[in-house]
Amino acid sequence: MTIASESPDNEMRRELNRRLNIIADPSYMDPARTDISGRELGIWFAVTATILLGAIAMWVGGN
Amino acid sequence: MAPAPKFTGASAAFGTLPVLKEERELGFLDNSWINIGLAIATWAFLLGGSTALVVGARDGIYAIIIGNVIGVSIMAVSVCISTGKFGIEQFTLMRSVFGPLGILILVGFFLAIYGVGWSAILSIMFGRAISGVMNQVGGTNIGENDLGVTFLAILAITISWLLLWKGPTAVKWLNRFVGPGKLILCFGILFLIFSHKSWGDIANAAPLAPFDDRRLNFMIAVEFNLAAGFGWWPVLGNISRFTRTPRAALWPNLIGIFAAAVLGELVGLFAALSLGSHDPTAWMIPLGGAFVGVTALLFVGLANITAIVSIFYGMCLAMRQAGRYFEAMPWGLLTGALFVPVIVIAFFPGQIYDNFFKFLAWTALGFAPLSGVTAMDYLVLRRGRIKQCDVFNDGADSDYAYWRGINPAAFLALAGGGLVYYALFDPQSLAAHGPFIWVSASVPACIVAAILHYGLTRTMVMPARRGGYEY
Repeated sequence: MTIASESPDNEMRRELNRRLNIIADPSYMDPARTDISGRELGIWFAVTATILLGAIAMWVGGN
Repeated sequence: MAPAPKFTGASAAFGTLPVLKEERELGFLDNSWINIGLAIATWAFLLGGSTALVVGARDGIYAIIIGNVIGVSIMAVSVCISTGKFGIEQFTLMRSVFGPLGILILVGFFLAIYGVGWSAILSIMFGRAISGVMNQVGGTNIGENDLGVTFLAILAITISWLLLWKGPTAVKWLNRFVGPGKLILCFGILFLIFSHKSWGDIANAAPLAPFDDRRLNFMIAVEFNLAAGFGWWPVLGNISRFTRTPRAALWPNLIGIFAAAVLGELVGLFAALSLGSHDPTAWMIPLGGAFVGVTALLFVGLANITAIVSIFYGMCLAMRQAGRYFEAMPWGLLTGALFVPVIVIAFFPGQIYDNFFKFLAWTALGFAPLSGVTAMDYLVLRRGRIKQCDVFNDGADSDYAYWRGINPAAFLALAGGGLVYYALFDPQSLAAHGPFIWVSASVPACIVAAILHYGLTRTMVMPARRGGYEY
């Protein structure tokens, strides 16, 4: 779906515009559209790094 | 009465349009189950079996955990956060990175190889599983590379196409049953293995086809699993697109993809070492006897169908954004057309299926740099800001038009990462070079690609005021 489609007023373009207008409305609330917090990303990498370092430590210890 | 839906690009679920709040069907639990259903699929058994080619049980456990946790942690932040936030089809959203023409090149060249390759492998595995059932129950004598396997593979493709026609809702409902069933299958295989063998037997079992150098074997096993982790890149964005919160988009990757894949691969590793074969379809009847083995093989077949559907769903959505020729094409016709090359490949079961691990390494050469570039672009360079209307704009006035629709910085970064990968590890011969045994190939490829993309964007793209990075 692209705005620059050959037919300028097709069904898909109208639907795209409708959706973009809804999303652009400042009163539109969608929890999924909030930015993930830096803290949550930090926790994500902390958890995965802990798993990684734990596995490496156990592998090194086993050898 | 509401008009009947036309399954063209006008429907967000079957097209590329941004999903609205009421269309986001996946909560944390739903996304976790879908991810479990995907990760624990029979490709996890194949990966575990491939790991057993080069390492034994102890090294294999650590290689599986290390490779998957690195791959999944980077892949998830590179693609799931952005698609979850904007609800736009993954490859449409990636126009912001590669440009509208650039993403076409990426989809046409790279995704086609990936989607067709994986689907062919899984459909051939379906063929081998069901032919095993027929040999056991029906007294047939279908060899593992016979034409019978090909016809059964084509049957798998046909069923997958019918399911795909129904869209993501069908996959969601199917995975609610198949996901838990695959967990039961995993624990069942583990139970059968350990009822026949002790841990000592498995731990002491030799790898099936190792190289001489033990450290090299370990890093090749890690590399296979890095490839598995990074290899989720083209699949998961179009699922997290339907999640209701950022948390539901991110964390199920750890619970579903990482943990479930590790479990499935460990089952594959132990079974391969116990039974001396890396092919999961050869394990079930020797392990469980006729009844249990046949039941397990039938379930393996069903599980492969859900995996094929998931891969192709993403691929078809990617084709949707390829331009006006595809956007108005009926969903059933588009999905059917993309299955044609899979059918052709299914006529060469031995060449494809038994070289699975090489295919895996080749995909890592592409997906590790891709993960690095897209993570750097969205999280660091754009700080989570994308101009949504410009993502859908093919015109030269779009922020993402770059130069004639291509962002050379992103492609140069991809090429740089791919060259680093190839310099360290040849996916075809599995020959390792330089510091591969210390750092693998995927991790340096990912990092180099990310740094290159950052540097080129700062010095070339942003000064030219292209790419909308100041938005």
